Amino acid sequence: MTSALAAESLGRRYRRDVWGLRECTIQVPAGRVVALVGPNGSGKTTLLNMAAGLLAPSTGTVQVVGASPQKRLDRIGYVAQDAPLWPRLRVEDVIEIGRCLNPLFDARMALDRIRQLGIPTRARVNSISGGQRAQVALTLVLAKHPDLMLLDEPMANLDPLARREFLTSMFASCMDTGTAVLFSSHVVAELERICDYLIVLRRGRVSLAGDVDELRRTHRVVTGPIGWRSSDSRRVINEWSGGGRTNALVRSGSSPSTGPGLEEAAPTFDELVLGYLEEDEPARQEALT
Amino acid sequence: MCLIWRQHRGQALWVGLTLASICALALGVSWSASHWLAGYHQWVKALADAGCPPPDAHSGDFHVRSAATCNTLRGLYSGAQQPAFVARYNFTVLVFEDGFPAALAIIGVLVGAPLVAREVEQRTQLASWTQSVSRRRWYVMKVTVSAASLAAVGLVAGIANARLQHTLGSGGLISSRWVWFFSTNLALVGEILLAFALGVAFGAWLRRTLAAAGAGIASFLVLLFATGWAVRTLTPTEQTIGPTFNVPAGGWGLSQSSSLGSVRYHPASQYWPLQLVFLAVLGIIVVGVLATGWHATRTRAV
Repeated sequence: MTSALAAESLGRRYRRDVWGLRECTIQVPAGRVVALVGPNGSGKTTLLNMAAGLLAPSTGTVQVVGASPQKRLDRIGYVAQDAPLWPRLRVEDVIEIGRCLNPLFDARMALDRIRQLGIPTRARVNSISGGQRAQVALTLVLAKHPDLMLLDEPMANLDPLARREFLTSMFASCMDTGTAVLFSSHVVAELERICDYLIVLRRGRVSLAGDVDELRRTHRVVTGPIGWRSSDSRRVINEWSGGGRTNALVRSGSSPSTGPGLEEAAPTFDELVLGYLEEDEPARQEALT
Repeated sequence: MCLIWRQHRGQALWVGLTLASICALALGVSWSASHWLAGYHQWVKALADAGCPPPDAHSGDFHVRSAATCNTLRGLYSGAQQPAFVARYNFTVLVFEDGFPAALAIIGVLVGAPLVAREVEQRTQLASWTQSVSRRRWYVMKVTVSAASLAAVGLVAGIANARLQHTLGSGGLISSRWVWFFSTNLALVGEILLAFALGVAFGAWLRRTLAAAGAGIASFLVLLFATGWAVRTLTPTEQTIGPTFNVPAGGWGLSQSSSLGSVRYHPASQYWPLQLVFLAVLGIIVVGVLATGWHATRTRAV
C-alpha cells in the first residue's frame, strides 16, 4: 500500500553548515494520525513545508501518495502556524477561492461546516477570532478531501476551548474520510488523545518514529533505587529521579526482563515523548516502520 | 482568476479611480485650452472685423472704425497668442509632462510591490501555494493579469496625455510632440509596466512591501533615464547639412556639430518607430525583471 508520506534521507540546508533537517527517513501510513513532536528549531516546520511542496529538499526525496508533493497539491491539505488567511477577504470569499483553486473542492460541505460552527460567512477574516480563523483554514483544507493533512501547530494561539473544538472536529472529519494527518504540536496531552503514530525530531534529525502501541511494547520505564543504572544490554534513553527512586526509559525487546529490585512498566505517551526529547545524545534514527 | 479578483479588487478600484481622475484632469485642461484658443481666434477675427490692429502689431496703418470697440476688445485677451497661451498653460508642463509618468510609475510600483511581498508579510502565501494550483501558475497568472490591466491603464493615460499635448502644441506651448515623447502614447505603457515589474521583483527579493516600493521607484528612475538616453541617442538619426542649425519641422534635435555646421536629429516620421522601440526595450527589461522575481518567489519566499 502506498504511504501517505514517504521521506528518504530527506534534508534541507538553509545556509552553509546550517541544516533545518538531515537524513530524515520516515513512512506515514495512510489513514494514520501522526504526532510530530520536537523542541523549537528541531525541524518540524521544515519537514512539513517540504511535505507540502513549499520547500525543495537539499538532499533526499519526499513523496506524497507516491509522487512528489508538487504533483500532489490536490491531495495535500496544509494549515500553517496561526492558520494564516487573507485578512481582508470575507469568509465566503475564502471558501469561493478554495472552490476555484481546487478541482475536488466540496464547497457545499465547506459552507455547511462554517455555518454549523456559527462563523458568519459575511465576516472578514481579520474580524473573526483566532479560533474561528483556524476553523476556516481547517475547513478550506478538509473540503479538498486530501489524502494527507499537514497541521503545523495551527492551535498555538487558541484558548483551551477553541483547541478542543478544533481537535474534535478535525479528528472526526479525518476518521470519516481516512485522511492521514501529520500533526505538529507542543501540547503532548492533546496529541496523546488523537495520535496513533509518533515521530520525534531533535536537532534536525528523527530520533524516533513508529506506531505508538509498538513503541510502548518495545520500551520500558524501569524504576529502581536511587543511583540504579541499567547493567544489561538494553539501551537507556533517558533517566530521571523522583520520590527516592531513579526511573529510566529503556529500549528493550518485546518481552520485559525485570531485574532484582527493579520494576518495569510500559511507558505512557508522555514518557516516551519526553524521554526522547531529553535524551542526552540522540541516536541517528531509532525506529522506522 | 477568482483569487486574483478577490484579493485585488480594492486595488483595482483605486487604480481605476486614480486613472479616471488624472485622465479627466488632462482632458479637462485640453478642453479648456481648446476653448481658450477658439475664443482667441474669434477675438482676433473680431479685431480684424472692427479694423483694430492685430494683437501682435507694434506699428502700421489701420482703419479703425470705432476706437471704443477696439479698447473693449483689447481688454478680453492680452497680446500675441503664444505668450498669452504659454502664460496661462505653462503649469501643464510640470503637471502632465513630468507628473503623468511619475503618477503612473507610483501606481505601477504600488501594485507590484505587494504582489508577492504582502503575501509573505501576512504569510498568506502558505495558503495560496498549498491549493491545487502550482506556484508557477499562481505567479504567472497574478503577474499577467496585473500587467495587462496596468498596460491598459498606461495606454489610456498615454492617449489622454497625447490629446492634451496636441492641444498645447496648437497653442504654441510645445514646439513638437517629441518634447513629451516619454509622457505620451506607448511610452507610458512601457513605463508603468517597468515600475510594476520592479515592484514585484523587489517585493519577492526583499519580502517587505515598503522597502520594495522605495527600491522600485529608485531603480525605475535610473532605468528610465538610461533607456530613454539609449533609445534617443543610439538609434539611427539623420543630419542637417549646411550653415543652419535649424532642425527640420517636426524633428527631434539631438546634438550640434559646430565644425560641420550640422545637427543630428530624429525626423518626424521616426516618432512611432521610436515609440515602439522604447516600448520593446522596456518590455524586454520587464520580462527579465519579472523572471528574477519568479526566481526569488521560487527560492526565497517561504
